[in-house]
Amino acid sequence: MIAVSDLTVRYGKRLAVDRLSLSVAPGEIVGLLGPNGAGKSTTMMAIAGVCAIDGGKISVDGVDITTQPERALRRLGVADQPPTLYEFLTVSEHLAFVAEARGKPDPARADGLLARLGLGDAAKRLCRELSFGMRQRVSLAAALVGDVAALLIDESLNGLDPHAARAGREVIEAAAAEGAAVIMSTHLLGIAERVCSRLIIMEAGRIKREVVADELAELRKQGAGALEELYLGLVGASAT
Amino acid sequence: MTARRIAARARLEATRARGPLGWLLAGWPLALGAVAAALGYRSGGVAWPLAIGLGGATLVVLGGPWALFWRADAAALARLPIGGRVHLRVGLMHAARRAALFIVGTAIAAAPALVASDGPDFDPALRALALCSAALVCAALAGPSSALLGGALLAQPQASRTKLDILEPGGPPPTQLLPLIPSIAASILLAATLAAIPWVTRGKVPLWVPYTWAPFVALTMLAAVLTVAARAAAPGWYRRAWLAIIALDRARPIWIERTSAGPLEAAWGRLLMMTTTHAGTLTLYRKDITNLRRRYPAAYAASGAGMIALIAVGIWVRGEAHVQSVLLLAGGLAVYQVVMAWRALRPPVEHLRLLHMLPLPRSAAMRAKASYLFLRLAMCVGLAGVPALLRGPEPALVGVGLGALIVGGLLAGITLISRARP
Ligand SMILES: Nc1ncnc2c1ncn2[C@@H]1O[C@H](COP(=O)(O)OP(=O)(O)O)[C@@H](O)[C@H]1O
Ligand SMILES: [Mg+2]
Repeated sequence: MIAVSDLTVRYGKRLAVDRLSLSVAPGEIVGLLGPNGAGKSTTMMAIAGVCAIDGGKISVDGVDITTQPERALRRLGVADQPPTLYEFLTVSEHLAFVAEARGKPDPARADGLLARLGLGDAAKRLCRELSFGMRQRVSLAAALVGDVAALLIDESLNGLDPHAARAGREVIEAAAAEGAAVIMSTHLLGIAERVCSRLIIMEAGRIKREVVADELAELRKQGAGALEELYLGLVGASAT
Repeated sequence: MTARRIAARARLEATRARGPLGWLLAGWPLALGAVAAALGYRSGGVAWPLAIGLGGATLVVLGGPWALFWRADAAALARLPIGGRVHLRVGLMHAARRAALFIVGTAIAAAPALVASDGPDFDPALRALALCSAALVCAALAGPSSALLGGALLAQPQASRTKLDILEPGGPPPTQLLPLIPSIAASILLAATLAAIPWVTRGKVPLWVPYTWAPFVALTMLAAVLTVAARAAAPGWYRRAWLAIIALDRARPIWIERTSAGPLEAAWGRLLMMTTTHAGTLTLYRKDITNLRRRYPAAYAASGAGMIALIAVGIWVRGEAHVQSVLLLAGGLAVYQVVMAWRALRPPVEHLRLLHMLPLPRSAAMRAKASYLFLRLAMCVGLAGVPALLRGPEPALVGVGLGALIVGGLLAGITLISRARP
């Protein structure tokens, strides 16, 4: 469960997120869409507690991130953009570190995730040797280790090959099926349409439009390109 | 694009990137000069200025590969259509800046002796400064130039092939050939400068006698030959050398992957856990050590060499110089450990943003890093300082000094650690 109300974030004078409210129920995957600079990453970093906020309330799994960050973070997995990895740890060492930090060292789960994401052979390699897409996947796996109830996934499916993209989608869906509340930002409308239970289209720090489950189902029925048309009709070219 | 533009951009980036403490770290030769001036104040001798000048010249030559190939922006520059000569010039400018810092540091160290001197016809401090400046100017030329020649050597297909055999697991670092020519150059430079020391210290040697010029001529010739050779080699060899070096660097993980905490560090980690209930502390502590050891293997070797030097100085250096040299060396080691603690707060060893996304309290990270710093200080300064305590003429003074260095280093480190922000 992720609950955000009236979130405001400023970078100096620039308003990056403007009184944004949203809530994500367990098992739900909310797709965050919007042009570059809309405030998607800032919103997620604020939820993760690594971005000072200028107003609003955020709770993860019922715990306030600003007042009790440590408790909230125990159930929160984050895949940031670009991925922050310890370059001089091997992939499995990195996952072990993150899982231990979340208080749930579980090598079997980490190995399972790596295998599902097609990273089995990379487990023993240093993070700094990985390609872009592999780093994205390691970051995704790191978000999923430990016992997480909420997930923030920032463009992690970008740059993946078709097999890896499907695997990534599947592990996210599996996490949601196990009860995680997921927020996922992406520019891949096809994936958003297929994976998400609901979409939020942001522009200039605000929610421009919410596409609820029924609407999304309708769009899916209309076939390929329907969401793209909706999006392009709604949002101007990328803001700054 | 000109070397001047590139250097200006690098300076701009460096100024933006470094905080207030960055200046202190970048200007350490000056701080060293000030410490030496304070220590040498009473005696007014030229030993400290000479030591700083010669040490600096050696560092500048050995730093050639860093000035040329391993500089932070070398990878970005290599992607641009920039000629080898420009690269060489950028490296030379980089080395020249470091050399200039050391010249000023030497001047600061020589200041008390300069003030105390009694006339221009013989002034050891002035001569020491002149000698060191000459050595440092030559070093600034010889460092990058010899590094380029070393790189060209590495890029020889023959060399690469033999290197590949050494790449087997557990083998030595493959780019070790790179510092080879700079080390030879540094040795010649050091020998030539040492040969000129009587000219500095013995008043009876007249200034304008041909043989006193010999070391200077040797120095200048060395620097000139290297620079001319490097200039000739640069267009053809810079890129090839750089490519060979990154290829070999990339192969490094084969051996660095195996490195992690040693038995002493592991034991200290277990001890650390008795002081805290948060399991994350040990997780962080182990992660830090693994990353530091893999990223900065040379730092561990350097600390080890420093410890051996401190032990040797503690046992064999007698007389008035004992306390001074022990404390200066121990001080250098302590500062180095604080620098390592600073490195432990920055990528790739630490990503503060990632830490903040994990449920680890600040105190766990602080405790892990501070306790590792304490272990390093206790080993490098405390343990290696014991012979000086036992064998020296003034155990009380040395004891207080070493204790102050450990406590001061720890406090400086804790200040750094507690101020770190993502
Ligand atoms: N560290 C920062 N400093 C200043 N402005 C920033 C910073 N990070 C993001 N911004 C600005 O905040 C706005 C939102 O950025 P971001 O959340 O990264 O957008 P998105 O992820 O939707 O592309 C943009 O206008 C961006 O320029
Ligand atoms: Mg973004």
